[in-house]
Amino acid sequence: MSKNMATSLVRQTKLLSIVSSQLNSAACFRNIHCTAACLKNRAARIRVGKGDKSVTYEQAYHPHHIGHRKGWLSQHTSNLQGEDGAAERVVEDVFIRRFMYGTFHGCLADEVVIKRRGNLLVICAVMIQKLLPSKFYFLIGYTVELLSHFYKCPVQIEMQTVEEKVVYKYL
Amino acid sequence: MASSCSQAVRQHVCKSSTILQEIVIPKKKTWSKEAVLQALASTVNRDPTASDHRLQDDPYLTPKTSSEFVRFGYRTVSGFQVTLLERFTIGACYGSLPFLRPVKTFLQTYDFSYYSVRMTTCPLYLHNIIQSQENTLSYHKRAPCLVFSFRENNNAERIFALLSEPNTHSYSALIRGMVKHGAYSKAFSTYTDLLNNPLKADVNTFNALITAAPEVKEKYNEKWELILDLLKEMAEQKVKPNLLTLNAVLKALRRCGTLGKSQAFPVISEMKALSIDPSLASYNHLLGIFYKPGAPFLGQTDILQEVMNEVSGKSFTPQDPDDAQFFITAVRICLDTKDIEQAYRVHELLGVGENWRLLGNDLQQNIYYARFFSLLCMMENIDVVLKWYRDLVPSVYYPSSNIMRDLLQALDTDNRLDLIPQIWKDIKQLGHANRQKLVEDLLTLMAREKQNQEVQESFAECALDIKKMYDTGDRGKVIMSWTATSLSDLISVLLAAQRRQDAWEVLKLFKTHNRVPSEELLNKFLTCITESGEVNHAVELVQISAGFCLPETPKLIQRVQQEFQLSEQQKNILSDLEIQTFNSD
Repeated sequence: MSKNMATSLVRQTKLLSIVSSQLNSAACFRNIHCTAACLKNRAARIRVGKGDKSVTYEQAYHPHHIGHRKGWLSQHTSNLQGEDGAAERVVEDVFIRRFMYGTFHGCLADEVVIKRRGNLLVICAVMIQKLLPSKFYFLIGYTVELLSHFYKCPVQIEMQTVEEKVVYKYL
Repeated sequence: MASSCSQAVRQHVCKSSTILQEIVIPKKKTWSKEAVLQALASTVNRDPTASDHRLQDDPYLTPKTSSEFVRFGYRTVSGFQVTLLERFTIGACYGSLPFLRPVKTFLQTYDFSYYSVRMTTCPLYLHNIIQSQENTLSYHKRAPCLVFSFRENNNAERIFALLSEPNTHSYSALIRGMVKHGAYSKAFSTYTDLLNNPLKADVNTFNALITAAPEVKEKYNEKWELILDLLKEMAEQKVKPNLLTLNAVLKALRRCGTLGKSQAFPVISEMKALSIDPSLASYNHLLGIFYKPGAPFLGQTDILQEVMNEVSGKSFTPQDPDDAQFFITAVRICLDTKDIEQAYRVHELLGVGENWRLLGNDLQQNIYYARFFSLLCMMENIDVVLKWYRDLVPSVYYPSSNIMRDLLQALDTDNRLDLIPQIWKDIKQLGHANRQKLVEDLLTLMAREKQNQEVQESFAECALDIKKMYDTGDRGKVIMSWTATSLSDLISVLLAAQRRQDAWEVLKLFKTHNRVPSEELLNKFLTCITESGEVNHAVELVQISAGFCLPETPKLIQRVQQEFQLSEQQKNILSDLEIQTFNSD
């Protein structure tokens, strides 16, 4: 009987070694993590590089600086107690930002600021003087009319132009 | 603004310094009790330093000339128009049904001809009927339709023939279209068809026919009789006349000469009897009847005054497309009769309620302000003119070069030529720096009298700036050509400011541009050279004069020989020249 147990044990260890050797082959390679995971924040941050990347003020400061060194890019009241529609405002904002980016392609110097005053939607943008003023006015008329029909509210654009993108620092 | 303040302070200082020797600057500025309220009150009215509300508040995007201002307005509107096209063609991509206009109720046409947008897909929505070559389409439903403006009249007639049962609306639309596009006799024949049909005409048809009446007849009384007939038929068919009817009558009376003058007031009383309030268009036509452009006005100034009495203090709404002509006509009459009081009243009316809407589009606004401002330049003294100038330019009005010349004349009349360099800056900004007449006037005014030292300095700077304008400009810019007068004026200004080197360079320009300098210019130059003692220049001057074969060369030679100490070589040159000129005589 002990002989039988011994042989079965030997057979089992042999089986285990065969199995573990198979497990250790290139097809399935799974090791144990011994150290803690480094959960880095990557949102809205431009990482430090060689020093040739120019970065605006908005891009240079990270999201935890909002309220301290940066303002808000989107201003509306739906985040107050008892107000609703926050999710809809976010979706609208995303659409408006993509729309502005595409319509004024290559002209945006910085992020678009969206303000809502009552029913009025004010889009504030800083543009590079890449197009002629009459072309700017055409695009402004187009954006205002299209967005106001889309969102069924009056839309106003407040535009400011700069000669070049305003660089805050180089990363 | 700041410069005029500094001028005022300077003058004040000059005055006070003659009385006292020193100026006492107070340690503390005291404000009156109402200062805060006054400051707040000043924000309520129009801000003269800001540009129009439709424009963006940025220096790059602010127009500097009237053409830019008008263009930016049109470009914005054309942006609007393009979205209409998009909304119909790609509207489905943007989703929800309320976004798309329901097709069945779309009745209006858009006159895209100005903005040349192709509305090629709309027939797909409607009926696939006809597409005109100029890309404007007429839309209608098979049921009672309203066909508005169309470029090609043939299209309209073809559509009309296709309609199975034309009714009042369709006839009305057809007649209106014909009148709008000049087919007046056809309009009348269509009207007779209408009556034979037998249908009744509506108010709009009659309005169109009355408008067409002066075109079909030649003599004044025939025109008037036709109009009276139409009005009688209107009464028979029990169609009530409205404001547009009576305005059309008044408009027709403008074409009726003296008959118009006698019949105008009865029409106005009819209006009152029917309790229709006359709109600004009626007053416009009234003024047009009595004040024909170019005709002499004798004892007719009362009409404008009476109209203004009627109209002042009232707020009008736009009811007739001709309303927008009122202000322009009124201010033209004030300009022709040189009546500044009435002009102020007209301008005041513009400030009442919603009347600013009735000033018309940007072009009309410019015309209004041009006339108003030139009247001011003629009649008022320079301080008032400058006050209005600062108020209007360039927030509301972009003056043309003629108006700038009027302004220069006003400066001249009131002896404020020291303001010329500032005006020149404004001229450059407005884009009139390459208008020959304006620039020549400017130079003449500067060169005429000798001013005091600092004014002369500023003149010299200004003159050199002007000289730059004459040089080869950028491509596409209008280049001005030098004349003898403008060159001499420029040199006089430079000499008066003791800028001999610059003046010398300009003198050389005479040769390059084939202009002949005048005698007094050369004499003046010689006097200047004598002061500086440059003998070489004197000899060169004589050589230049001889080069032009001018008759005063011998006199110049004599002067140089007397006033300067010449070297042997120079004496030889001069004697040679003397012999030359003697021989040529």
